[in-house]
Amino acid sequence: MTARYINRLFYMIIAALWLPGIAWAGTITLDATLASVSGVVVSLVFGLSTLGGISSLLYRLKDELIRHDGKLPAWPIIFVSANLVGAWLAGFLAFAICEASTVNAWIEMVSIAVAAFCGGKFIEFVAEKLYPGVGSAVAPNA
Amino acid sequence: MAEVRHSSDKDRDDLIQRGLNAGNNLKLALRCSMRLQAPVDLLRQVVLLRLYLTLSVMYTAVTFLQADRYIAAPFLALLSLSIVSFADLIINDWLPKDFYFITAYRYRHWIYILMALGITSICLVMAKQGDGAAIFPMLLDACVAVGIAVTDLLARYRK
Repeated sequence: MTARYINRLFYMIIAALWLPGIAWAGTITLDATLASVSGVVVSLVFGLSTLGGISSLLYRLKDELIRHDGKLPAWPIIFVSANLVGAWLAGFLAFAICEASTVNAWIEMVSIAVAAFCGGKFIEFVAEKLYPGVGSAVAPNA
Repeated sequence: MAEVRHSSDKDRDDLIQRGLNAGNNLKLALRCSMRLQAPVDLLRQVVLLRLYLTLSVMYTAVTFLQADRYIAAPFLALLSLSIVSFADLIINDWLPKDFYFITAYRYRHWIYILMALGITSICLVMAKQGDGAAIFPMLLDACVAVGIAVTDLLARYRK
């Protein structure tokens, strides 16, 4: 078995670990879960997710600025919006899951922040796989 | 023949020079805001804002630790972040160049981002437990922290 197959097997095992979680998340009814949540809490979750997204954005931005001699990414709007949209989606998903499972409030906050950071990174990773160099200071087709 | 300059001429020249300086500063500020770039001078002006933020976060953390309504760990984390930020401010910005705190300087934007994340998390917990009225000054601190983090990163690495 080559290293390539071992790598693929490793990814499949990681994906399979998530399957019970995804199946359980499918049983959450969003209306009933979010019925008792106030508007202030929703806006704060939005703010916390945005902060998670900004963290992942700054992480990448610093790398790009160092690598390309102080130049900003060629497509800054795509760069910023991809990170933030990923962070919002992941943050709200983490919030819904935590609300449905009634975990401790502090664990919920940490989960939302971490999920938002990982969401931003995940979108970035997918974008780089599909369009290599999309977040770079040099445009891919330049 | 040497030109005789009256005091009114000097005053006028001073005024013109001041006007030019003000115009240049305005142009620089506009250029920086348009290009999302912060010059190093701006970082020096941000020092006071950093001092306000550090002291405000320290005060918030100590107040909540004394009130003993919530668990202590998040507030201790916030307090330690604000102490690191205060040390960074004193050592790297105000003491002579012989003294430095290189780790805090290198990871300064992360300190402020973590501070903002901590403040927002505390606000969220307070809002969930019905203390919604007290969160707005803290949210202002979080916004200031994010602004400082972004300004610091761009000023240091953008060319």
